[in-house]
Amino acid sequence: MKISERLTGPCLVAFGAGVIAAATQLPQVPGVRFGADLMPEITGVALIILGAAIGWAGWTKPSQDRVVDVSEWDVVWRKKAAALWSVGALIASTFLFQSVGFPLLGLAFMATLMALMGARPLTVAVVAPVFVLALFLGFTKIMHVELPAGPLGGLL
Amino acid sequence: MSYETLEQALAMVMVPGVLVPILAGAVYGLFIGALPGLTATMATALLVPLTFYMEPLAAIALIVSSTAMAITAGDIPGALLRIPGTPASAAYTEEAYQMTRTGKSGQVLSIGFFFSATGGLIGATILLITGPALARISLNFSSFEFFWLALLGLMTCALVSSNDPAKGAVSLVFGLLISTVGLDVTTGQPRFTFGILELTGGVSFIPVMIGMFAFSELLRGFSALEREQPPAPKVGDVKPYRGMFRLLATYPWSVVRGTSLGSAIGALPGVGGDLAAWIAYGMSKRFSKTPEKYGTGHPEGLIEATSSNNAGLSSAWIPALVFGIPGDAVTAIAVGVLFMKGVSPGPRLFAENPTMPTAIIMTFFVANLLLFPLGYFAIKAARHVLSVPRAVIVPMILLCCFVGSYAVNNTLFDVWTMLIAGVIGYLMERNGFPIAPVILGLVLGPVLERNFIMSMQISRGNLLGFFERPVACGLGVLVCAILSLAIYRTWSRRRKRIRERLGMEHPIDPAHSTKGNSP
Repeated sequence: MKISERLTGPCLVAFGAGVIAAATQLPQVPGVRFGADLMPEITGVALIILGAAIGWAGWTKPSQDRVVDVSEWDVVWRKKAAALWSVGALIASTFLFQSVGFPLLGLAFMATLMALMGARPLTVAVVAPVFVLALFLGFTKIMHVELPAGPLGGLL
Repeated sequence: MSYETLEQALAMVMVPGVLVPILAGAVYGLFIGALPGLTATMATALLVPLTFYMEPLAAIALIVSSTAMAITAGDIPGALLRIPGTPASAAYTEEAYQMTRTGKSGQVLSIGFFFSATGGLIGATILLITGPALARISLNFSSFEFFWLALLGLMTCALVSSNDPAKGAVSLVFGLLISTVGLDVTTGQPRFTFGILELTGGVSFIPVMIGMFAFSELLRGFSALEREQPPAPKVGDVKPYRGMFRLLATYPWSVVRGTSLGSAIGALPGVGGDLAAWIAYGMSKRFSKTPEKYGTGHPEGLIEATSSNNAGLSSAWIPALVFGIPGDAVTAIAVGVLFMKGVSPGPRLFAENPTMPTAIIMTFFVANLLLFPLGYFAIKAARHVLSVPRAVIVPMILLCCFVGSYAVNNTLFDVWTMLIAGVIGYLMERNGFPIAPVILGLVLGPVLERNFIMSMQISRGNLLGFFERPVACGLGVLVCAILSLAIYRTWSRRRKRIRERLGMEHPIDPAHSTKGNSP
């Protein structure tokens, strides 16, 4: 998704102003002259200046392109579905992580994505479970990362 | 340092109890570093539970070798998939990837291992010879020098990472802004946490890095942009290290500058080696006879940056060993392990038991020498990454991103951070805002802010105070000069563009033409 500088510039200016406004709301510590608000205020001012420069550059550009251009997502449905699955399934995984566990979630995520991306069924059937299991065992047994096993807790 | 000390230290290292952990750490580091999304810092942190059962030197040797190898192996996904393994390798990922695109994957991987090992060996030699003296000099640095140094590194990164300095600066400021989230470095009060408990510790840079570099790249791959890129080159039979001595002869000053800079910057307490790669890459472009080739797959900057990378890694141990002040995240973990083992790093360690710190330095030599043979096999194996179908490797990497983000703190909050950073990174890159300055701003933001606030307090708000000390003045003038030059070049380029535009729109109207060319 491409956004024109004519829009990003003013957005950055507004964001910078918002940062300054939020920074000035931070509680002041008595006796501290240069407190928690100083650095955010400086970054806010920098964003306003840079946003104005980028916005100005956008207006003075020879070619005035579309404000928002989403033409790059004009792709076959499989690719769109793979992109949506990558984001959506990972978000869903954060909610189901403890109850379903990493092995089953990882398997469902990987097998579906591989299929959407056009992998052969045999490759999906072999690679997905082996990789997920290797990742799970490697992280839990060797690196001591607490990945939940879910219903497979008794087996793994 | 006496000959006896060196002999005793060497005897301490050349035993199976130390050599086996070095080899195991190197293989482990190679594996972690080569996996996109898993970093050297994470590799080190995950090793700490294992060190409970080891002798102090073996424990440190394990950390040293795994870190050296992970940082070097971090170049592999950077070169082949445009996903840097570490913040340091992010400095030259684009360059390395462009080399791969032009069919030079064997050369780029060889450069990574060969010059990292060379830089590491030189850095270890410098650490052995001049370590204490360098640390003493850097200890004289005040907050003013540290502030200018951090700003210099940040600015260099912002300027070299994009064709549009304003967009590079926006990315940098964005990174600095993210670094302000959490407890304030001076007063300790919560800032921009929005009542979220996980944000009190700040935004962890590893999930942000994984999201911005790995996740955003994969999102980009799903879109039609993939068609814009040339197809992945057929690697063929790679001959590791072929032509490296010729490159060494062609760019000897790049190696000298890279290792010197890496050693000097890595030795500064709190700065670490990551910054060295960024500054080295920027400096290489500045000194190069062919700066226009940078970003197109040119080895010069790569050699300088990768040399400084491992040299900085070695010298980051100078403040850690001599003064007990960690140079970076890895040495911070290692210092913690040393304390845990009853070994207190500091000047007394050198005075009371010089063999121990010397033996630790010796492990650097062994670890960096191991980079040559292990790198050979890694280069041979790494080319297969390109032959793996995209439908297999993309889901693998995405799952690694998920687990890698989660493993940092064992929390799903970091997975959310990774996802959000990924989407933001995708939007940023698509619109010409470079990602690398965000990461460096996030990592160095606290260092910059702490030293800035301290300096402001010392000078009582007088900005001229930042120029009163000689070294600070030199660094400050350099920063101001680079900034002025960047502003002038941007302004003159835009002015030229407006002139051209007016000239194009009114090519036959002399009145407009004259107006367009007027100053």
